[in-house]
Amino acid sequence: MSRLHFRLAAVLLAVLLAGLIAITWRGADLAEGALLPETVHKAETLGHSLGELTERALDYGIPLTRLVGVDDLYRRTLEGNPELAFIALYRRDDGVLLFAAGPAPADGGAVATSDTETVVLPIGGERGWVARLVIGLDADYARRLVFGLWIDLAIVLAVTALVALELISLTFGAGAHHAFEAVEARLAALRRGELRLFPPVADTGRFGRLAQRLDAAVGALGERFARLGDRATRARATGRLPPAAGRELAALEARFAVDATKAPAPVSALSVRAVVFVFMLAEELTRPFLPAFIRDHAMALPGLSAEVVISLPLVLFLAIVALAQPFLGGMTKAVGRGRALGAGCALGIAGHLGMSLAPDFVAIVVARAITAAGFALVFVSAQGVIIDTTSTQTRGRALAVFIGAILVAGLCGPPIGGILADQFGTRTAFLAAAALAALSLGITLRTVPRGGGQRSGASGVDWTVFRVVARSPVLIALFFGCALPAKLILTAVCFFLVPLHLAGLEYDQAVIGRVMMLYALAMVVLVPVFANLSDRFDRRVEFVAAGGMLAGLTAIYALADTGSAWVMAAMLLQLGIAQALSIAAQSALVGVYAHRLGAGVDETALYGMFRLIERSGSALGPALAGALLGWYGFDLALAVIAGLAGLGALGFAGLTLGRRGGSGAVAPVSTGAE
Amino acid sequence: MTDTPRAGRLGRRPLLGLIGRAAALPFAASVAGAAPAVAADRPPFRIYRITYRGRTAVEEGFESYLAANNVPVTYIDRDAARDPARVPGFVEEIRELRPDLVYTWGTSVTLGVAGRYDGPDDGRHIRDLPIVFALVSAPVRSGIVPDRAAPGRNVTGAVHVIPLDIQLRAMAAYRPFTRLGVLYTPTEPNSIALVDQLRTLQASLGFTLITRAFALDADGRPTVEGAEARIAEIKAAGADWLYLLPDTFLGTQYHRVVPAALAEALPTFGAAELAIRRGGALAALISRYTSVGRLAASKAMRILVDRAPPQELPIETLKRFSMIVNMPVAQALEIYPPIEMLNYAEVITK
Repeated sequence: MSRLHFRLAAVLLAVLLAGLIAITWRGADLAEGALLPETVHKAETLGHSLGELTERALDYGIPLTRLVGVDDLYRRTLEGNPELAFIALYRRDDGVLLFAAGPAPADGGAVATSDTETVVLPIGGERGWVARLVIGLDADYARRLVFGLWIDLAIVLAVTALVALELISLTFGAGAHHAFEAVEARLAALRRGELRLFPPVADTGRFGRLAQRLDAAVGALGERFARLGDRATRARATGRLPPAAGRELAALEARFAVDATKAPAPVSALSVRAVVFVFMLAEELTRPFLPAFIRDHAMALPGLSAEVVISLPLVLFLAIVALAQPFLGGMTKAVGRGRALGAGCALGIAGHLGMSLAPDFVAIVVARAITAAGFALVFVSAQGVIIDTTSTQTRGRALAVFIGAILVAGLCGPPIGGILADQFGTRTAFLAAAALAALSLGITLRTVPRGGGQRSGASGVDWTVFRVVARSPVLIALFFGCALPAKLILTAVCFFLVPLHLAGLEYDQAVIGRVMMLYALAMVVLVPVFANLSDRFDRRVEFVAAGGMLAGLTAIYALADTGSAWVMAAMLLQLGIAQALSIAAQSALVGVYAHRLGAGVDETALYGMFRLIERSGSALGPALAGALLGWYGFDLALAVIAGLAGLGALGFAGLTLGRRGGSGAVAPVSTGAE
Repeated sequence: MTDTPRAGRLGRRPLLGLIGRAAALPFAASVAGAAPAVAADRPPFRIYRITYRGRTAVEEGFESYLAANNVPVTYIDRDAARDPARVPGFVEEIRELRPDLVYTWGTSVTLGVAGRYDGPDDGRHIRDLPIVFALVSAPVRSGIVPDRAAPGRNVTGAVHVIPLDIQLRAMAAYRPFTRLGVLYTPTEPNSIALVDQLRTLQASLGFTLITRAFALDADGRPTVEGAEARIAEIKAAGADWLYLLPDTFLGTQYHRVVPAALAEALPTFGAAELAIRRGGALAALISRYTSVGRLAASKAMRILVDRAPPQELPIETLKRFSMIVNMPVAQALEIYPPIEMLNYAEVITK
């Protein structure tokens, strides 16, 4: 993001946030103001009905001290009304506490001086006032309620801000702003003293022409330098080049980064980012209602339990995504990344439309398979576009931008999808997903060049690489000790165990949504930070090991009160931090090891193998978690899965930290979002 | 609230759903407001009614239900005046008048009019006109129908007996118990069957049964002599309640049995309304007669208006019952009902 772009986005965002915060503040304020009188009113109503019952008993001649079942009645009343702190009945004469539930003062005289807000009712019956019924209000209740409200509003704020940022990116991605940015980038390079070439700008406006003139000037300079270089080479061949001149030329080349030969393909990583964001948003929309939709249309299959049938479309989706990726890398290169990207978007449209119209379970399975193929195509080709069009220096940041788009889609999609499904029905929500996929196709056609015709060396998964991996303990540790458990713990704990567990404890969807969001939030914020840090300090092995061990440490949450949403939230937050630590570093290490293993190891093929193993972890996750949950319950299932990740990371650390080496190229990064 | 008894041990809570509040009707769906399916110009249905001991609240409930549903009816009322010998004469009259429906009160009248389902068709019973009964406690055991769910003949109706486990839960709601005392007549098959049923409930509901039988005289007839001593034995064995079964002989001896229990500070729980209204029991769970009448009327309406065949209409019992608490006895025993029971129980104050 350029500085101008950044400033504009910041201003727009600031205006938007200011408005939203003002509305939020006012709303929460109103709610808090209305809450206390409402609570007092409710306590009075309850008090009247309890008091009336007591008086009826007294009227029947039951002595005050011999009332039966009063503590029990108060206790159940308290349980049904969380805004109350205690209910107590005191004798009038001496203030003796007769019956109570909750932390009531032991003496009636202490009620007046207590700082708890109370409702007091005299209890009489026919023989006059004999007792006082005191209901204490729970001050924390209002605070808890308003706190929950604030969290909800903060989530709305965050989602709105993130969507707004994406929209800004989208609008700034092409046209005049692109030219504006292009000029800015060129001037920034010149200021750094770099005389390198940029992708040509097609825009014919003032900024476009300026960029073209700059390109022409720098290009001419480059050509002259190239001619000089040729002459120097010829002179060196005939021995007439003074050594000092040769050194001078090399110094010039290094000093000004003059390089006439490399002009990157004219494609903006930003436009791919827009495609990916919109396409992934379509898929993420369906996350909240997809399982229930499948369940409602599930059919009985001989020999399979209902749960397994329901999980079939989900497992099929993950399996297609996992198995297709290694093959798609070469294929998309051969047909052209842009074309493949468009085809993926089109498959997405077909898949979501199919879900919207699906009459039965078979149609759902087919539609999900089509969507899965589209998902895999879009992911691989978009990643390919970035790899093809960036140098090793710029690839890390470009990929971080790409992953950011996926993570933001994962953060914003579910709440929006939930609202759509609630308001307009599930099938309409699928239509909305199809419309988003269509939008991503439109952006692809407009902004991403088709490419293509490039012969790819590796057009399929290269199983010979498997032998390379099998012979290298370090690669085994990285692939099976770090990459596989990382994805496994994600789909097993984050996508399966925790939501199921919390739903089983009857937490409402809003709470579960908030808890789940913490993981995505940690990823969005921390992945770029840790990616930068691990690159800058060249400590990728340490980051991978630390991330894996931190993830493994979530096993200790099994000892805590796993029935609490707070505990689950803390665990997912820790898991998010752990994954963010290791994810970028993991894939970067694949490149490092490919280089270190030397000739005969194709980097692309090694990546293919890495992705395959990683995604097998994704597909295995729900299945393993389901089995463990059935056998041992939630706590132990959590401990076992987290323990696996921790042990894997320990093994990797043990193998590598003794002989740590430098890093190589920044490599394609996995998202942790699928 | 639930309409069916929940399984489980005896505590105060599980029963409450079974006890109707004043306004609750088990079949409210078809009460007032339902669109009448009867043409306005139709001549009224003729219902031939035979009571056993004069008009009761059952007939009131029966009439009010049909009136609320705008079913036009004229009643032909006859009373057996506790004499089953009068019933054959009513059967003769029914043959002449050919009413749309026959209503019968109690087991003896119903058997007299309808006959056993497996008895000979000798022309002494009504087998071609629909009959709706009320206040028959055991329609299958008394041979009126082979099956309550599907009577299979021209008879259906409303049963007023409350299932035993529901009675026990009501007792526990008033005062939880682990030992239950019963004094029964060893010559009454009905009582013996009930005691057997109580024995089978011991394990599932978690209580111990303490039984004593009335003594028999030289002729083998039950006698109340020695009842006080037997009640003292029951109390000494640790009984928390004395359950007054719907035992015919016991029903005639409340004036001896209940005061004896009171003297032993042993609370009594009645299965029949008389046990508390006249017998002085501490508490009882009963089917209200008006509710039984309404339930019977709902069957009559299905037959008359909807043309439903009686052989397909299941014989039903009420789903909600009435708790009655005898407050003077509670005060004498100093065993008071839980305060919440006052929300739904009928309280007798003198």
